Amino acid sequence: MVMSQEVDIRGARVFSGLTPDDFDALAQAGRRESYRPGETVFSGNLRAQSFFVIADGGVEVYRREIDGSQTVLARLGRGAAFGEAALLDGRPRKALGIAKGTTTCWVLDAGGLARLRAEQPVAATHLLANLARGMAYRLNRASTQATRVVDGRRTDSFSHGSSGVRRSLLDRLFGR
Amino acid sequence: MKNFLPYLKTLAFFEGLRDAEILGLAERFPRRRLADGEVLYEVGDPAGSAFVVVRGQIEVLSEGGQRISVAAAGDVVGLHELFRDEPRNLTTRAIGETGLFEIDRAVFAEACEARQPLDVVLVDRVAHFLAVKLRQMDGILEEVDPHVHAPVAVHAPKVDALEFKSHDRSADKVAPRPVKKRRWWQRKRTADDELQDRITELADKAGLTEIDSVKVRYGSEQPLHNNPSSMIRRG
Repeated sequence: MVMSQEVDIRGARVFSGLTPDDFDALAQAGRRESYRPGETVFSGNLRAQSFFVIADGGVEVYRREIDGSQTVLARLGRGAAFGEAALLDGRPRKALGIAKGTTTCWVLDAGGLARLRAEQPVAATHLLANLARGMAYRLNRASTQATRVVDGRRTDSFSHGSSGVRRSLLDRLFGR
Repeated sequence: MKNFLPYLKTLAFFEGLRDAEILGLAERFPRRRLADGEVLYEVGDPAGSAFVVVRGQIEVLSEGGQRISVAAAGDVVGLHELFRDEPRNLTTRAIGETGLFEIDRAVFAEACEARQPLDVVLVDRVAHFLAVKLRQMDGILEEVDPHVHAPVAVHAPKVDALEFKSHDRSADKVAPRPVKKRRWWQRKRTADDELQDRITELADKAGLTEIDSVKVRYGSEQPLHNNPSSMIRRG
């Protein structure tokens, strides 16, 4: 896919398996956006329902703490994709994304996805399937950790909280 | 299936879909019925289908047999296992008589190829539910262990390179959740609704008509459109 303004992200993992026709459809549905160094890429309701693929540059993702400080959650580079959950469930983001250096992204927002679904359902299906596969992978890992907590098996990354807290939280996870 | 449309529209899985899409999907899903206590799948079973809970409840059990949660009508169990090849790591079991729509693993894989018009709807619903559950998990991981942050990117080329830094735990305070008030007919279906369904079921067994069963529930006739689930007949 050669997006407008020479954004080329065909090699991004999130697009694996897509056909040339799919890329043409995606090029129409999404748009190119550039950010200056230090510019906010997404925050709270800013581009809340947008999915990003980094074509050039990088994005640092922060979590805002209660005391006003920021904790780095991730540093993402070219080819990284993020925001698929926000694109699909439409809830405001809790994290904050800042461009590191001049950054260019391919952006698909909820309106673009709706158009893609309506006008190019095949491309939309292929993209959604790839997004779902990635989310399922993450959810599976997290679920495994969660069940270990319930069975009293400590894990390195999911080992705190009282049993009552765990139970109520897990109820939320599994759809109570 | 058209008779069930008002009820199906109340289920979260079909939220936002057009009538024709709901009916199309519902007719495409094989239906499963489980008796009280019957196991849907258990730890060690080969990876397989996901299931939309249409009626009743499914309890989710850990490998050690601990109840993790209960999935009520409208929810989906086994969703992330549509994509993985490892054996099941959870056991699911019916609470009461339970009705399910099956999202067959092979059928879903075909849907990802987008050969039929409804494929995009099915894949979209699965992706949407995965997103919702993933967001819930992000919050859960933060609350259970504030030192751990769920990764924000799925397709980062080097996931291992993501940085997860600890921070001062004393600064973590979970903000109270805003209470969203809804009128009773606007509520999502919950476990409490299952009790009402049980009353309807008993009314059916007693040979009461649909309108009678509504009276049994609420003491006086209510407009059916306010409570679509009351229109569902058992059997």
